[in-house]
Amino acid sequence: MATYKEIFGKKIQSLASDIPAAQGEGQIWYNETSDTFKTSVLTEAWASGGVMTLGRYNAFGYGTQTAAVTSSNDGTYVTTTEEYNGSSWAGAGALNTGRGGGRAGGTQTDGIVFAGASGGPNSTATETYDGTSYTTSPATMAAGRRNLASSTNSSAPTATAFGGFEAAASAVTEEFNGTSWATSPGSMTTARYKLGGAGTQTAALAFGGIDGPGGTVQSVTEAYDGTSWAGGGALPGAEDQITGTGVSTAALAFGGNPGVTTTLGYDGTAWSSKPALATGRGYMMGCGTGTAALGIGGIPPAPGTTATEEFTVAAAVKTVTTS
Amino acid sequence: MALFIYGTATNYGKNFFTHQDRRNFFLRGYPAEVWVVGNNEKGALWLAEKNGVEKTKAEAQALVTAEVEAAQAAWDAQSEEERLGRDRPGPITLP
Repeated sequence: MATYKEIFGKKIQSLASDIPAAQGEGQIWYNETSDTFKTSVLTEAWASGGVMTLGRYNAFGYGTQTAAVTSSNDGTYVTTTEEYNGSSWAGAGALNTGRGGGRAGGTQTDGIVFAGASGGPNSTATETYDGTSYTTSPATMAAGRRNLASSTNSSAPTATAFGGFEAAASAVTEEFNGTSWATSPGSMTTARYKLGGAGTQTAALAFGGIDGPGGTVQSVTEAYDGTSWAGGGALPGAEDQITGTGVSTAALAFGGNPGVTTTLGYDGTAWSSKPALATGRGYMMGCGTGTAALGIGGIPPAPGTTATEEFTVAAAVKTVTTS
Repeated sequence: MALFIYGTATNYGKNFFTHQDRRNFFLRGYPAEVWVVGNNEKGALWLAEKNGVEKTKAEAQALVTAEVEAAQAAWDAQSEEERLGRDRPGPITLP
């Protein structure tokens, strides 16, 4: 049998104490004190994030895990905004028009929110956020819709919006270039709303959703290349009210209806299981990356929880056993 | 031995439950600040450290059901226009 030295070119270190977890990833060492072999492995998990002052769901959420923004709330259509610094939420500039079921993108100092509805017709409105206040953009979407999805990690302030509910489930794709919206020639194969979205303006992902009132919940994933949509690896189960973030080759999907805790990762080809949320929710707002995500609000309970969760990848020292 | 401990505890935000906690024991949150915790030493310690109040499963389920029924009543009181695009809250059964 080959020895460790023959494989790796050096002997296992014998140490009085463990190597710090973050520095020991991929290494193996002997801990003289505990008389055990140790290694450091990366583990993923959701942990609690700061609690918002207002419960929210199906609202606007964007930014990163440590610099996020959320505005409005479905059902109550408040205009209030909160900003997250990685630890706690604080009040920020109000929206001009409160809406539910809209989507958002960009950063805490260069954000964009669009679409949704406030108990009336679906909105085509776009607002931009500069870190202090929202400004209504002269740019309007061609199709007013709610419960759509969008790219989540585009370079601000650009975005791709897709799907949603107009008078029926939509397959339409629109792109915002920072100044105006244009309808893409590419439409999704499966019209749906309450779907999840991730990716960038020219490499977006659409997954899950429902194809109409009382219709069929979908497991379909489609990938957008800036021009057209192609089929991707299906979700392991049909899901709506699902949330996404990350890029199309390292995306995260989490939550769903009703009160789902499931988290999935997408590598550009297939979905795989990830550690579950602590609190199952649908209609969450999501932002960040596939390895550092923030899940914001959601239901149950109505009218939206104040809770947030942070998905991170961290190194942990483990004892090597034979089992 | 029961698989879970049931209790209520107020989520105060960051570090209420940590990455390490999630590795150490099962944890699920529900409406009414109800938490279902894996029944091991670390799970029990976590609930105690969070000033949690241990409940029986029936008591915890009653708290969750009351919150769901309140949300259902609020939904039922809405007009058709207000309900548009939103589903009636469904029942939740604790594990």
